[in-house]
Amino acid sequence: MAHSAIQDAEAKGCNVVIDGVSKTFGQNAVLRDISLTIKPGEFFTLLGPSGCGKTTLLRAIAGFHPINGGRILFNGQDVSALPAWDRNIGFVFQNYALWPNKTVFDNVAYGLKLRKVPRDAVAERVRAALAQVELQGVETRYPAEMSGGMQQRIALARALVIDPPLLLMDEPMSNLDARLRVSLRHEMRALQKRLGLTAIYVTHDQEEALEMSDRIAVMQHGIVQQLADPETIYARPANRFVAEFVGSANFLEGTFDADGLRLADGLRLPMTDRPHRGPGTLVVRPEQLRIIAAGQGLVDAVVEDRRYMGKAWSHNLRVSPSSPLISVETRNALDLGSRVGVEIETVTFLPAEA
Amino acid sequence: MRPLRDTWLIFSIVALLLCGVTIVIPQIRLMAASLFDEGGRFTLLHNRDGLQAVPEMTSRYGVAQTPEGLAITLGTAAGLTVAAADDRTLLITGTEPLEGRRDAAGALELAAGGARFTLSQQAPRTLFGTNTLAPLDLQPQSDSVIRLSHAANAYITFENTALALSPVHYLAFFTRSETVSATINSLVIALTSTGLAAAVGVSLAYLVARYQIAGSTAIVFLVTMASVSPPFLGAYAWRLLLGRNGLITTSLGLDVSIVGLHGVIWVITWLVFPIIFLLSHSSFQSLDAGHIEAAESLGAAPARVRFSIEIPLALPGIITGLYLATMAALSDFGTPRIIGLDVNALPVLIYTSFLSEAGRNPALAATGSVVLITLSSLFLMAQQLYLARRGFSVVAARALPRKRLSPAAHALVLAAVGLALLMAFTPHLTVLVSSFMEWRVGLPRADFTLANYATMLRSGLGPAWVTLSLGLAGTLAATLLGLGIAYVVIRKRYRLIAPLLSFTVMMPYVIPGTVLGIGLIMMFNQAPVQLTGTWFILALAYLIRNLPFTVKASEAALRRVHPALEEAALSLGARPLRVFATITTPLVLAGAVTGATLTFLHIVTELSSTIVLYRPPWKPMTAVIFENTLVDADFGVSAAQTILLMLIIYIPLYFIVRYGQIQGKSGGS
Repeated sequence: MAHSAIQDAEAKGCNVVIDGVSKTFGQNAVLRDISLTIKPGEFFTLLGPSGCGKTTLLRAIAGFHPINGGRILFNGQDVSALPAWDRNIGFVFQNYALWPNKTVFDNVAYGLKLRKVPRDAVAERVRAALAQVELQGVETRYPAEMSGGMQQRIALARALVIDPPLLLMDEPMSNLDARLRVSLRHEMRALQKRLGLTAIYVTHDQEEALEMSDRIAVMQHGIVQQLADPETIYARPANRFVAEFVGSANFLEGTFDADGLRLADGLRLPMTDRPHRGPGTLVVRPEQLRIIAAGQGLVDAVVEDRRYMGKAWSHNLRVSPSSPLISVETRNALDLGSRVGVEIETVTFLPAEA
Repeated sequence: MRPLRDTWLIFSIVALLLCGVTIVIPQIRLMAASLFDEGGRFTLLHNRDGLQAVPEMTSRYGVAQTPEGLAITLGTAAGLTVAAADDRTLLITGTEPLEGRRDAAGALELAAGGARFTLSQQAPRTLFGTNTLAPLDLQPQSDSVIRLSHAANAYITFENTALALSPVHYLAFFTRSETVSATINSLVIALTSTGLAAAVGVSLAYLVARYQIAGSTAIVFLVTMASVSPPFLGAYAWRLLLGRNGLITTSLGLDVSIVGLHGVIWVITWLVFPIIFLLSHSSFQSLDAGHIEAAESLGAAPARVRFSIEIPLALPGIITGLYLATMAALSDFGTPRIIGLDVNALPVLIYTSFLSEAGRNPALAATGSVVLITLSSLFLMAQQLYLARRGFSVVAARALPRKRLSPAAHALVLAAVGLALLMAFTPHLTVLVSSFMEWRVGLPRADFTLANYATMLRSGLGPAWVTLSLGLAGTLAATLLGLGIAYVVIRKRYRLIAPLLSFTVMMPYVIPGTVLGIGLIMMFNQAPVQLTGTWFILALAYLIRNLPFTVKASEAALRRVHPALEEAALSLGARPLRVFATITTPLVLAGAVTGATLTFLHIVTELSSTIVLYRPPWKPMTAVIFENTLVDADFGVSAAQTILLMLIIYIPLYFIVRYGQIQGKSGGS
């Protein structure tokens, strides 16, 4: 069988190559010539706003719909023409997709029964799969009797029980409440590392992506905008879209020369130690700005407005009446209307495209 | 995926072919039969008494005696004049040039203007005569006069075999008083009885759904029971009670009779009342509390909320109920046939012109069928147009609290509901009582007896078995096929094939049973597939007549099954057919069972297509009972048979309602 070949090639974790994949729905190009490689055992995240093509790519990898161009390879084997049922993958759905008419046991055992696993081995493996997701004694219950978090664990157990070398997850936590989501992130990541399988995870939640992933592909309009590890994505976004979508940032348009950055409204930031030249956008995260006494920073600004966020205060500063607001985070509140100095710690400069 | 390996594509094509052969082609043939003028013929007898027309062997042509001879006319156009020359020759004069010739087979042909007649004769031979008859021969006399020589005492038939596209059948249909009045009667019956039933049904449904009424569950169950009673039962029972020699009319010495148009309307009103009540009730019940509270918070008084919020939001459901009721009333065959007597309605007209031994007229039947289908399609279009602009369906996020009524008002509502239920169940009660009465020459005697049941058992339960076997087989086939078609339409969505299938399968929705039956007879009365008069043609008719319901029920159930549930199984390694069998089918089963129950009830109570299609020995109970009521045969035995039929209906219905309540309590997803 096709999937046994895939299984034997690598002990665990499957190498996935996306080679020039494109997909259109009618006139609408959803994936445009996407190429990327996912390493065995990697936790790989497709991150992007809704409609960016991330779910379409994941479902193409699962084989739920055919692709219009390119190839998908599992461990070097072209699976583009292979139907979903022959790909040997685990898939976790956003809405859990637990069969409401089957007990938890029957839900989890379904894949094993298809593989003609002997009856007593089925019971043992179902119990073990449920134990992996920290559930016990729920085999005879029905999905509707359980909480959303428990249902998602069962869905995970159902996907894992067949020992897939590749686990695909389509926004599996978006229907859970915030607190549960945070605790499940850690658990899911730990489980994936322990099992050593490759995981591809789709989400629109940048916090989730940053915390869980080995690498992230940020997608928009069917194109991968940046593919990098979480730290690079956050600290050195490749373009304005990535910088905007992941975290929050100040964007200052201007031109770099030997005397520093001249902003659009004529204001000059004397950043002489930077190698950048020419027009572009300066990206500064709120926490990359430091507030010091007026007159001692790069520039002075007036505190216009402030909000308490719990872990910090967020302030909006204005340098001059015509310049844009600058967002800054500090531990302590600044007085409204006071004049402060602003120092920049690290920045990313995105040169304007020629 | 290669097309031939796709099991679902093959299934869709087979289903489409089946629907094409059983639904589309017969309807096209009916349409063709109504549009083609079949030419017609006339026969003349020329013997010692002179020349005369033979009306029994003449169709479409008019023959009139004039001083010049017999004038032959087609419609208003004057055609030929035939006069006797001597005892073996006729002189034919045409308004247009005439020409005689022989065709390839040697048959004599007469061309008169555009029309061509094939001539043939039948003449008595002499008692011991072996001498051959004098053959027919034509000798032209002038351009427009031709001489026909023939055998003595011959019947000469002029047959125009040409088929021509012409609107004559429709012209005739809309000019003859009989057909026009049948059309008007049908419309009057459908609209009046729907209107009356709506007045009663919608208001009672509102009261029961929105106020705390004692026994509201029982009320809804009783109305559900009434909604599936055999369609002719009402007519039969009301005539028994209020007919010219009816039980009530006779005992009170009244000189009134329910027989007539008013009776048809009265009976059909109570026949369709349950449909309107049930659909309105479920619409009113699924109103969302939020919508009403929003209106109240903006300062709307209860009466204003009722007319500006509650009724408009429930209207799509009510309109659907009205449409179904109008369709049922329009296509009902049993009621006007039993209680109408001289009141002609379209389904009866179609039936009699297609099947009756005297005056059989297939073209009229076809034309009437097309008119009837057009009417019902217009009603469907009106409903669809209305729903298209209000494409919302209210699903209660939060159920409405029912309002309290003052004791007096409560009693009033209960009395009204009780009265409506009494009317709806009068047929059932009448039949139940009369089945235990002794009948002598069509009149009952107040003696309790089981003789009717004994007679029924003695005469055999054959019809019951026919009904049951057809009911089970038809239900099973319609449910499975419906589920498969719904799956193709909702999930597979093949280009062209899926929408075509979805459209074709819904066509029987507007085809009255009588018309569907006639279409099937036209399709299957000759080799290679001769099915007429068999069990199979009944099963086939019931199958396609109920497909719209099973497909819709399965579609609704399938829409509630998220595609991810199927994809989960695919990702675990299940092949598509296995996914359908182990995941999809169990999930839609509850919905499919509801559809299947309705189908079973439709089949065992089906009369309009049955009456056209059945031939002994495959005679379902509805046909037996119906014929007995028509010929005023033993009412007691008919009543006993009806009670047996009601048992076949209500026992499964009871279990399905119980099943539904259990399902409802355990909660859905």
